[in-house]
Amino acid sequence: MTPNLSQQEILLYIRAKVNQLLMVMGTSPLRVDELDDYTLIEFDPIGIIAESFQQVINNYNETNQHLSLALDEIRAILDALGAALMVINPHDRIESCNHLALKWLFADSDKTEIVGKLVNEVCFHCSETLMNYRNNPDSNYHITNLFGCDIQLIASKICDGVGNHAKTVMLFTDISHRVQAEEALRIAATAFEVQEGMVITDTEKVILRVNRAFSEITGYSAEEIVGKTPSLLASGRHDKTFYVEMWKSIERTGKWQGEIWNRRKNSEVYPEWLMINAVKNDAGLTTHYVGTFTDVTSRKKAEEEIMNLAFFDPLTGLPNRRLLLDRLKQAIASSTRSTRHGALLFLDLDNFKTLNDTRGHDSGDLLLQQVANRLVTCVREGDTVARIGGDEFVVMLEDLSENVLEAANQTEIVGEKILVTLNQVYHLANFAHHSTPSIGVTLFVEHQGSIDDLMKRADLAMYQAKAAGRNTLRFFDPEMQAVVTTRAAMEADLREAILKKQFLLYYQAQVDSEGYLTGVEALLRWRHPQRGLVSPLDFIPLSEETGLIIPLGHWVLETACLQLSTWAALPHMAHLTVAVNVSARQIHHPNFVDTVLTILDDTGANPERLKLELTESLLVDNVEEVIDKMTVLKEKGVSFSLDDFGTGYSSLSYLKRLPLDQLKIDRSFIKDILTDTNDSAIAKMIVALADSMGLSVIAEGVEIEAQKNFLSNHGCNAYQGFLYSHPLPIEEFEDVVTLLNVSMIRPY
Amino acid sequence: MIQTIDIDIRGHICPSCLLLTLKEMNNNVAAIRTGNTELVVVTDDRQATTTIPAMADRMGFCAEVVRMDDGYHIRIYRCNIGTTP
Repeated sequence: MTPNLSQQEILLYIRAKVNQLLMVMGTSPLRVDELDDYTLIEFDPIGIIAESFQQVINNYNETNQHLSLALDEIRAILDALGAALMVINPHDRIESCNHLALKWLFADSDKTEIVGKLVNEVCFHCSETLMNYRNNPDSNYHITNLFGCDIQLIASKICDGVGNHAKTVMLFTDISHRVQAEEALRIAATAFEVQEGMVITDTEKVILRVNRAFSEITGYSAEEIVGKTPSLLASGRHDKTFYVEMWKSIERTGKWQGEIWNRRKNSEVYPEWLMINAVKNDAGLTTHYVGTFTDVTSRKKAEEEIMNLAFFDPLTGLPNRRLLLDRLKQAIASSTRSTRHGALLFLDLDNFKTLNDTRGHDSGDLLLQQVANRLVTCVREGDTVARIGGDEFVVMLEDLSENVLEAANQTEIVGEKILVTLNQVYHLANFAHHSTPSIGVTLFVEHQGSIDDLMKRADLAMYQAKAAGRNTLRFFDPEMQAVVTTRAAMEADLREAILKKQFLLYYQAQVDSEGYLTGVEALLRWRHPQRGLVSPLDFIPLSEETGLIIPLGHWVLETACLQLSTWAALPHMAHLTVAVNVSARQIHHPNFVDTVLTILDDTGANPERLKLELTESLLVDNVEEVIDKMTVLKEKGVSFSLDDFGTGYSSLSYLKRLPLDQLKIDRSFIKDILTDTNDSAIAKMIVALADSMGLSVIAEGVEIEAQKNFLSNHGCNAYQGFLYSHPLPIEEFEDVVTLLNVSMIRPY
Repeated sequence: MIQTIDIDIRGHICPSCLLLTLKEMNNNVAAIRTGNTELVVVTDDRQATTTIPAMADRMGFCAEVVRMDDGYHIRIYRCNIGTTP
């Protein structure tokens, strides 16, 4: 039945429905004054709203499609995830899980069998302990050995719009690889901290890491060295080539090892055994270098100790027989190159066995040590003192003269020194002991005979020394023995001559250009009881070597000064000067100046009449010292003449600084002055030089008038020589001067 | 070049404002969906600034309200791709 509705009722119904729809849309109802009935129908609000709702529905459908797609996307992502994911509600019912969760946690069940179930019903692995983690959401848990793997569990709580706990997401990640990698790193880190120093650099050799042993060995802390290069440790003992070769080897083979000297932070240089390895990546390119090293200082020391034991005598610290033979071999080779002689001195302590037997071996050892010390003081640094067993020592001298007899003399001097030194009393423990050596000597030059032969010869000579009454020295070669015997005899004679006053002075006149006597040169002579008058040339060198020149020189100076004071009392002699020769050894003696002054004082001689003649050779050493000494004496009035000028070493710069008064032209230039243009030129030059320096000049060896005239013509106005007088004993000289040749004395 | 359809509903109050706007949107929904056309409603009714954007949102459009001297300008346009849920 169709209801019979009035138009009014229908309009009311429409307005009510429009308002209902407007309310759904959240807005206010229509008012009649706003929209009259006619306009209401024409405006068609229901149609508008219906159409709009269609739009809304379309939009929701579209949105749902998007959400569904997004959900699929998320599921796909979660399934692809390398982790198991499970979503549970607050009552532990499973809401969702991913593919890996089915496999790991739910024994490969179908998802439909899992969703909606309680966790403990379907998850064999989900123990109560594990599930407790869900109550501590947003934390990290590490579960070891869950279904055979290292698993990390992360639980996150999801709340609904009003903050109520809606779900828990549990994520299980297999971190076995990471755990293994960490373990490997830990092992590596432990391995890194070993006794050996380790350093890791990049390819530019910039240090990235060092271990503790590195810091202990080098002194550099990691902070100090990281960022630097290992060149900071370079000791400077290796040249550039060494490092270049080292890196070449690393480039070629990827490694290098060897001994290298480095410098610690405290600048101590030390040896280390270093191994460098290049670290390469999969492509075979070097990414790092790893250096491993051990400090081999102690090993080196041990090696040195072994070397010491092998080559040195532990008791005395001297080289042993093995090292001696080695050095002897080298000395022979060296002698072959230089043609200079060397010498072997075999020493044996006389009666050593008696000391050992009566006082014990400790005393014997003490003696051997003291002998060793004394022997070392007797030789030059380059020479060798060795102990070859028992009480036998060997001294090896090198670089002696090329002339065999001179070399023998040189050796004999050292031998004598050893005899004297070893003869001094020894203080052993609590008693004084006297010991003497017997010394056998042999010389060697180039390859004459084997090393064995040499040793045998020296040994044999030593037995000859024993046979000759001990405490003596014998040469293997009879000729050499003769030379040194003669020399020894001469030395003994010299000593006796000094004691017995067998010396005397001869005087030779020195005159001016008019032939007047100005002074004399005092010349030493030795009246030997058997050999007669001995030339100074034969005994002065020996007295220099033995030091006898000191007492002898003292006597000469004293005698000359006494003569001066005697002459001072004689009017015609009072003006004469006396020239006295002074040797190098004398002037270098520390007391030289005092000695001269004392003699002048004691004899009362006028220092201004004393002229000291020096030779050029004494200016070779310690010129400053000589200048100082001359200056002191010169202040007292003593004058100086430089003897033999032109024959030896003269540095003009020194000459200028020496407080000299006179140059003496050597006789060798005078001899041929008239015929040899060289000699005459030198003589003229010396005169000119003396003139320019404000010095007087005297010529010695003037024998004929023509020589005197030549010298006179060229400005030399003082002469000495046979033309005027031979060297004469004092009595004869005074006779000549005062009685026979009065004309020599300038009228006074 | 985006085309703008301006509708001036000043003097109207809700629900007229909403209904007038919906009517205009219904008429131009295809154009607005393409993104080439925007609808700008000028109104002086404050309630409309809530109801109109709410409906636009449900229909899947974006709306922004700017207060200007002559009233509220409500711009209705297709949301950028990617921001649509």
